[in-house]
Amino acid sequence: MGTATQVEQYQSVGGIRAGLNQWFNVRMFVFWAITGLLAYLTLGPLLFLLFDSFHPGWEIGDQAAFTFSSYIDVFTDRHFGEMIWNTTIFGIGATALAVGMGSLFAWLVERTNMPFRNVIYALLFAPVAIPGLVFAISYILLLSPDIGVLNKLLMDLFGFEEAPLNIYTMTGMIFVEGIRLTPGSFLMMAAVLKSMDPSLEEAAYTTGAGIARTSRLITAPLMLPGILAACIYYFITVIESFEIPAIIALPVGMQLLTTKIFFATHATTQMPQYSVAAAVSIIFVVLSILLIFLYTRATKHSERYTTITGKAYRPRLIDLGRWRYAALGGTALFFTFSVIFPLLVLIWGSLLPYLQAPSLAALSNASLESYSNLGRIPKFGLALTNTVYVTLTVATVTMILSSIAAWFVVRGKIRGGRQLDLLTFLPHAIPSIVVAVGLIILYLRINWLIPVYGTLWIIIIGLVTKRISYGSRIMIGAMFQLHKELEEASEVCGVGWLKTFCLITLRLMVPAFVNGWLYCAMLSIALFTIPVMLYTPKSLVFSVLIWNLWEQAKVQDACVVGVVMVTITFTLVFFGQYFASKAKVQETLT
Amino acid sequence: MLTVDKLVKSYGGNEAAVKGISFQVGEGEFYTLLGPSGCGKTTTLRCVAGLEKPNGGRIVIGEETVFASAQNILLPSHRRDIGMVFQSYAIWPHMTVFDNVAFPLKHSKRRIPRDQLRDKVMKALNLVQLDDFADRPAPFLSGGQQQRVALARALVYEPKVLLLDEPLSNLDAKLREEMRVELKQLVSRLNITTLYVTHDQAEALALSDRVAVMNFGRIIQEGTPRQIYLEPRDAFTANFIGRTNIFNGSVAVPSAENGTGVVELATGRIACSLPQGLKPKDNIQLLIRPEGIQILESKPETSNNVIGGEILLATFQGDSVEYHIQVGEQECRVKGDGLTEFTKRRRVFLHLPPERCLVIEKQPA
Repeated sequence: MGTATQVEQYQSVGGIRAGLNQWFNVRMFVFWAITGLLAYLTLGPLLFLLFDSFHPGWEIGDQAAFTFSSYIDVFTDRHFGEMIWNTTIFGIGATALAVGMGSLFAWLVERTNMPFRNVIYALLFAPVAIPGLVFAISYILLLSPDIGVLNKLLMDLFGFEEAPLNIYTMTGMIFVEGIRLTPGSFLMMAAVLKSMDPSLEEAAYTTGAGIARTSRLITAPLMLPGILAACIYYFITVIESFEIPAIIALPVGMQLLTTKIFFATHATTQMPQYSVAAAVSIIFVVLSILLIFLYTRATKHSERYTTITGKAYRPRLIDLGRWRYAALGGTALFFTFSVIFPLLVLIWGSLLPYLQAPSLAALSNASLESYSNLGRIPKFGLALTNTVYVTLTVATVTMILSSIAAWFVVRGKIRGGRQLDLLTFLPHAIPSIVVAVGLIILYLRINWLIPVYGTLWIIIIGLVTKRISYGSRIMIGAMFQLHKELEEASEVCGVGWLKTFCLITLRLMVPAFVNGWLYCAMLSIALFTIPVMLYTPKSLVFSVLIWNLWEQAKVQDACVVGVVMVTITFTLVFFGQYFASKAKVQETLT
Repeated sequence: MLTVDKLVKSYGGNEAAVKGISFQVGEGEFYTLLGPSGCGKTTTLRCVAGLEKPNGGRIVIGEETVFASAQNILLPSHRRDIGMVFQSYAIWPHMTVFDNVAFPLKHSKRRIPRDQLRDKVMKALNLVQLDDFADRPAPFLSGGQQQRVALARALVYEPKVLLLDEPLSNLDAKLREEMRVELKQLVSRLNITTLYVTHDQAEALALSDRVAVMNFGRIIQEGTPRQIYLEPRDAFTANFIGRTNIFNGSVAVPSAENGTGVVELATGRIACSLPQGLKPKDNIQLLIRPEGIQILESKPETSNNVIGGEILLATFQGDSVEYHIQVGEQECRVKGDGLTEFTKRRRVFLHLPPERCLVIEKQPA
C-alpha cells in the first residue's frame, strides 16, 4: 500500500510537469508563434490603416487628432462617383468576360469531343505565366492608337484613316483583364464540371432531352453555384488588380479605386496623402470582405450539387459535329490573343530601337544587339539581384509558414485552429494595394523598432503576407490528403511532434511544397502592385524596372526586360507543371 | 500489464464516446475489444495509445501511469511504452521496408548504435517473414506485406504493450484468415501483452484470451471467447457474437434446486436451466444458436422441448444447410448437416436441447 502511494505521488509530481504541459509544449509554442506572426502580418497593417485614416499625419509622427476629414475628402472628391462607377464597370465587365469564356472552354474540354481538347491543359501554363504588367504593356504595343502594331497593320490592310482600335478605353481594359483571367476561371469551372456527377446529365438524355435542352436545364443550373462563386471571386480579383489599370488607366486619367490610392501616395505634384489613401483602402477592404463573405456563402452550398465519387468516371462526350472545328478555331483564337500576339509583339519590340509595324523594312532593322549588353540598361544588375533575393525569400518563407499553419488548421485539435484558418485566408480579401498602404503606414510609424521602411524587406513582408493565403490553401489541401495515421505511427513508436512533423509530414508533402514554392516564386517576380508601392531606388525589382523604363518611354528596354522576365516565369511554371504531374504519379502509387 | 480505469472520452459537447470503461490486461494476455462501429472501441484504444486526450479516468501501462485525470497526468504518445498497428497500416511511402522498421530505433529515445541496428531490424523482419523485402520501397508492397511491415515496426523495439486497431479489416477474406493464424502464432510465441480492436466476432473468438464486448461506449460483457459465445448475458451480445434465435416468453415454473425450470413460449413449453430469482410470469428471452437446434422429420415420442415449424427456405452451404423456419409468428434459423436436406414448405419438428438453451431476463426496451 505504502509503495503504491509513493509510486503515485512520484508520478504525480513528475506527471504535472511531464503531463499536460509536455503534451502540448513544443506544439503549443509553435502554434502561438505562428498565430502571432500571422496576426501581426495581416492585422497589423489593417489596424494601422484604420487608425491613420482617422488621424491624418499620424504616420509621420504628428500629434494627430481624431477627424473624419480623410473620408470627407474622399467622398466629396469630384471624381468619387466616377471612381466607383469605373471600378464597378471594370469589375463586372472583366468578370463576365473571364467567367463566360472560362465556362465555355471548360464545357468544351470536359464535356464535348472538341479535337485536341486535352492539349488545352498542357498549354494553359503559358497565359498564366505572363506577368500582368508585361501583358498590359504588350497590349499597348498592339492596340495603342499611336504606336499599336495591330492598329498599323489594320490601317495598312483596310486603308483606315486613323487607328480603328483604342486600348486606352474601359472596353480595352476590360478586354485585356478578361483575357488575362480566363485561364484561371477555366480551371475553376473545369473543376466544377469534374466534381459534378455526369450521370445527372446522362439521366436527362435517357428521358429524351437533347443536348441543348440538357445543357440548359440540367448542366447550367447545376453549375450555377460554381459560376456564382467564380463571379464573386473574379470580381474581387479584378477590382483589386492594379497591373492593367496602371498601364492603361493611369496615362489617360481614368479613375479607379486602385489608381486613386496610387495617386494619393505617389503623385509627383503633391505630398503623399497617406490618410486619404488609408480611407480609400478602408472602403476597399469593407467591400472586399463583404464580397468574400458572399463567396463563402456561395461555395458552401455548391457542395450540395456535387458528387465526388473519386472514381475516374468519364462522362459521355457530346458530339459537336461540324461545330467542333469552330470550337477548336475559337480556342486557337483565344490562345492567339492571350499568348501568341503579346509574346510576339514583346519580342518584336525588344529587337527594334523604336516600334514599327512588322514589315520587311522593319525586319532589316531588327537585331539581337539589345540583348548583348543588358548592363547598358540602367539598374538592370541591381534589379536582377534584388529580384532573385526577393523571389527566393518570399517563396521559401511563405511555404514554410503555410506548411506549419496548415498542420494546425487540419490536425491541430486546438482551440483557435479555426481562427488561424481565417488568418491565413484573410490576406486574400485585402487588395495588394491596400496591404501596401498599410505597410507604409505601419513601418513609417515603427521604423525606430523595425527599420525596414524603404528596404527590400518591406517588399518581402508585403509579398509574403499576400501569398500566404495561396500557400496555405495548397498545403491545407495536401494535408487533408495525408492520412493522419502516418503521423500517429511515428508518435506511437516514440518520436516527438516536431521530429515527426519534419521527418514524416513535411517530407511527404514535398511535392505540394515544391509546387507551391514554384508558383509563389513565379508570382513574386510577376506581381507588380506591392513592389511599385513600396520601392525605393535601392530596392528596385524587375517589375518596377519595367514600369520605370516604360514611364521614361524606353520601349525597347522595357520589352527586353519583359522578355527576360517572361523567360524566368515560364521556366518556373514549367517546372511547377512537371512537379505537379510527378506528384500525381506518386499519389497513385501510394 | 495494462489497466484502464473508468475511462471517459467525449468529443466536444456530444454524447460521450466512451462512458467509464474499466478493464485489465494481464502480462502476455491477448485482450480484445469487440463491438459494432461507433461503440467506442477504437476511441478506447487511441486513448491508451495517447492519440486522444481522455476526459477522465486512469490508464496504467506496466508500472507507469500514463494518464490520470485526478493527478493531472498525461504522457504524450511518444513517451508511452507501446507499439501500434493501424487500420491503414500507415507505412511511410517515402521509405523502404527496412527504413520503416528502423525508424523507431533511429529517431526515438530508444536510439541504438548503428552496428546493432541492422541486426535488430532484420530480426524483426524475419519474424514477419519479410527478410527478402528489406530494400523494397514501401509503395511496392501488397496489403498483406504492408500489414507485416506495420507489425515488424511495432515489435522491433519490444514495447510492453502491443495495440492493434482492426489490422485485418483491409485485407481480402482469404488473406485475412491466413494473417489471423499467423498473428496468433506470432503473438503467442513472443508472449507480448496485446490489446486488439475489431468488429469481427470470428477474429475476436479465434485470437483472444479474453474478449470485452462493447456497445454505446460501455463494456457489455467480458470473458473468455467460450464464455462470450456460449453464455451471452444479453440479446445484444448473443446476436453480435454469431447468429442467435431469440424467443420471447415467460416463466412457467421457476428454477428448482437443480437449476432447471420451465418457460412458456408462444409455441410450447421448454424445460431448461433458468437464472435464479425469476418468478412465474416474468418475461424472459430464450436464446439458442442455429447449430444448437436439431431438426426432426416426425414428432418424437417424448415430445419434451419440441416445437413445430415449417421450412421457408433452405440454403445449401456445402458443409451445412441453413434453414429459415417459420415457428409460430416468428422466423428462426437452424443449421442442419449437409447430408439430409428438407425441402421447402415441409413441416418439421425442432428439438431444443436444454443444455443449448440460454434464458435471460427480458430487459425493458
